[in-house]
Amino acid sequence: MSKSKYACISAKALAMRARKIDDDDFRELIKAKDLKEVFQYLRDNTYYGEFLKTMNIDDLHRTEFEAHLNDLKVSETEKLMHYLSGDDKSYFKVFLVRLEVEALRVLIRGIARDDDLESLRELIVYSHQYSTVPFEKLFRARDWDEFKKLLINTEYYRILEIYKDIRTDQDLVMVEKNLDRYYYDLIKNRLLKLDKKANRDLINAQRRNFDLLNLIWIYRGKKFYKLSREELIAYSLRGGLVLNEKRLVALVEAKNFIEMKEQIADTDYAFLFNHTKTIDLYMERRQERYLYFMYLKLFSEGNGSLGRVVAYIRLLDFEIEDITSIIESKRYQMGADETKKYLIRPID
Amino acid sequence: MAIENVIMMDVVGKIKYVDKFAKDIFLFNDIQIVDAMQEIDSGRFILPIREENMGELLGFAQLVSGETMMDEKNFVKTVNKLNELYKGSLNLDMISLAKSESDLGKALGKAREFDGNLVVEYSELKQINNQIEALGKSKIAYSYLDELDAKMSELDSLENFSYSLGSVTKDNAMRLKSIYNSVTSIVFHVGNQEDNEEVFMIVSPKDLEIESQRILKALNFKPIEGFNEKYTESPKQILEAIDAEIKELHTRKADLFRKLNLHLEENRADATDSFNTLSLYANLSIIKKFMAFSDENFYFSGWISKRDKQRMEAIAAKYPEMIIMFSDSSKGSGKPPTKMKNNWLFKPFENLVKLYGVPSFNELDPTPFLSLTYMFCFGFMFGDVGQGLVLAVAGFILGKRGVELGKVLFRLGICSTFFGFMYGSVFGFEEVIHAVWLRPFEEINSILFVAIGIGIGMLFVAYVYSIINKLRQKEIKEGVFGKNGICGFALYASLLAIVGINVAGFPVSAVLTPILGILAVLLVFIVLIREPLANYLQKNSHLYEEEPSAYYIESGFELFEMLLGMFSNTVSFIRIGAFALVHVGLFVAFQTLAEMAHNGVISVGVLIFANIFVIVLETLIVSIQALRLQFYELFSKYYIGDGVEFRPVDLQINLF
Repeated sequence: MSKSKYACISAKALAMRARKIDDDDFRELIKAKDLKEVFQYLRDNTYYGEFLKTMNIDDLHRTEFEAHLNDLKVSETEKLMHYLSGDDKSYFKVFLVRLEVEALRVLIRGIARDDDLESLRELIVYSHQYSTVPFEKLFRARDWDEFKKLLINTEYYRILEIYKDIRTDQDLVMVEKNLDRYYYDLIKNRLLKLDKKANRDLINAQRRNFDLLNLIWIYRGKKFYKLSREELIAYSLRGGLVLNEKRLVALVEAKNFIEMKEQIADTDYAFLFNHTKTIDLYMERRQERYLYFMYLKLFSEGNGSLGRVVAYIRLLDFEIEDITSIIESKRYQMGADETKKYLIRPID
Repeated sequence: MAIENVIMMDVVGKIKYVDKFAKDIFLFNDIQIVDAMQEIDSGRFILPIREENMGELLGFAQLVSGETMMDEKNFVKTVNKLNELYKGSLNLDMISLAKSESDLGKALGKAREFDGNLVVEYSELKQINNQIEALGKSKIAYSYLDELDAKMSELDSLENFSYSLGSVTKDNAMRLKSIYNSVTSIVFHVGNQEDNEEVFMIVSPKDLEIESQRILKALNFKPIEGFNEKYTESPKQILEAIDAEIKELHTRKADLFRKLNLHLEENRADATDSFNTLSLYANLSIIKKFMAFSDENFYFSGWISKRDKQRMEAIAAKYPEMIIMFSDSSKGSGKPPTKMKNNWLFKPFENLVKLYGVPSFNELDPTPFLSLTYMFCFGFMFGDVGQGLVLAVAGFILGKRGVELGKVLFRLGICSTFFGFMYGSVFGFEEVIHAVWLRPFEEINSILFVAIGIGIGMLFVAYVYSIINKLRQKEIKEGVFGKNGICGFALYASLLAIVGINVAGFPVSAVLTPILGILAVLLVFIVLIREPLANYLQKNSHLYEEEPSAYYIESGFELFEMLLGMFSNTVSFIRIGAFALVHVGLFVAFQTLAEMAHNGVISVGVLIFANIFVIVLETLIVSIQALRLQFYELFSKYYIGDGVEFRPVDLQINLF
């Protein structure tokens, strides 16, 4: 029964994935001389073309270009949502919430800097069909109070209302962490409602994702931000697979990095710290590559579950991130080999 | 004549009489106001150039539209306010308005005074509501501590500790719980909020307060409002005090309401007066918006029925120096609205006609023809004494309740009953009464032929309507030579004649057939060349309005469509016979079912169900089919329906 429920959307995801850009495309993009060439290639040869058409090649802004890649994600997510209903649909919708959170983050930073939010319009990508955030009005908000009031009918109000001001860096970071935490708690709660038998692989994949995010958060919180034990716990995520509450607390209480490393030596995540010099530089990429392969597997094996479509969107995320990395590499004029090191997908 | 003649009335009067005149117009009601400025701008408002009209004529140069000067919004606002206070129990009394002289200044003054008296009570009410709301918050806040056996004053005056209550989301509550043991404060879970957040009380040493607040902020801790240092007792006592306070406020509120209502009742007469006057002035302002004004005069235009001319003249005569002019619709005063006028029998069917379109002022009103044939067709298709009466009763009740279509249903039900006697059918049973005319199922062929015959008759009438309509609009091309004009009619008649005399086998058929055949071919040819022919006869310079080749291709296809249409339109009327048969057939099927049941109760049940089913289904299908015949087979021949409906004053103005 549950298998046939996902048969249609699985087939759809398979067909959609056939259009993805492949390694050869990536090689072309890496070869491209500059931002313009990357843009032209994507516009003329890939499924991003539809969304890049409207942009002016002679007046390209890197960040706007990157933001518009996400237009594809919105449209693909909305498309796939037609095939879902009930708890499945509401879980799937978190991908749109992600973009909403990102968009709010951009706008809140703008408010903190006293920017004219209207000038950030091109960086904002969200689902016009599903979003309840009144973005059009937000663009016209002049200060933080006005901004908060506009969100009063959304879930975000509860998060933002206790902040009287966000001009200090500390508050701004807190607000952003809070938004992230809201997003991941939402995923966790919606994940709990899915059919556990059919979606075991998906649920485990997502929980591993939580584990990795927690590890990186605790590692960085200790090393760079010198946060208190309580704050580390306050912003940690719940619902991890291997790192339950007890292990999280133990990690937080670890006296030093060696102790932390020992504590996860018996887990799959040991790879994060198994390097000597390049831990900080590549930590995120290593995490994402791990997830990339996990979702590739989930995609090929997730035929009778929600797993395949979720993997499809996650793989699309990684693809967009890789393209973004390539765009950035042009800015720093990196060579092909150097660029490849920063990509999530392995390319020879 | 089913379409009433309307004429354009243009009035110029002295500005000092404008209010009184506008009131007359408002009470007269049966007039469609037109924007006078537009009339003047388009040159239709023409004053005869005479010595005594000089002032009015000169006024044309300095006209201002009433639209820019009038503002009824203030009146409407006050009227609405009064209406709200009295919960809609005030009604506009046209009769007393007509009798009395109404004084705007007095009414406004009274309304203002009225408003002033209420302001005090209202602001007091508002204040009480705010207080109740604040107390409600305090009540919730203190109820989280209701098990605490200590005085709040003691808590508030702790030297080294501070306390706070607040809520966090469920997920953050989990996080808070895992740092209970190490956090620098004491954490109590004191309850849950309505929105599913958990409420905690945090007691922390004052020295470490900043640290605790930081952690709480990290968990998005939202302090609970409503604590107040004026409450010093224990929470239980405080809650009791708050309850008492709320109760007292409610009594005061009820008191105020009572006073307010008393005040309202005492002043009902005055309020009604103000309401009437202000409503009137709101309406007058709207009427005046349509007028144009010069320094001395006002200019007004509107459509009225021709028969109201004398009454309007009598009104105008009351005012000195008022000029009133009438112009006929035929003299090109813009496109006149259509005022349909039908007797009680046909009136409800106007709605069906309007469904298609309002007749144009120079078109024949199709309502009488539609009413008669629609009722006839419906009865013919659905003839049953019992079921017809059910429909008639249902229609009558609906009609009384103001559903306009109910009146149509009532008439259809009566026709159905009439045909029920013709067919001898009562609630589907054919054994109860004798058929006056025939039983459809026994004479299938006759009923189908009669149906076609009726159809031909109806089509003939449609042709006549079409010819009259087109000739009235001076359309020689379509009216005389067109497919729905005289030629088309003649062609249809001769084709029918050819079929008729051959089928009947008249001895003259051998002679007549070729003659009629040649006539038909000739008529087809005339229809084909109708455009150049009409243009030639009217001595127009252009024979064709487009390329001749394009015209002939189009016209050729139209010929094909016309011939096909003549056939299909005629055959289409078989349906009225067919549905007469369906009615019987459907019931026979149910009767068989009832017999098969071999059980008295079930059989009766089946037959009752059958009747309900037949009534609902057939009413729906038959009324749609009959309407389809009207709209598709008949209206497409003779009716355009692009007129504008006449809207009397009270329909144009909608205050509320």
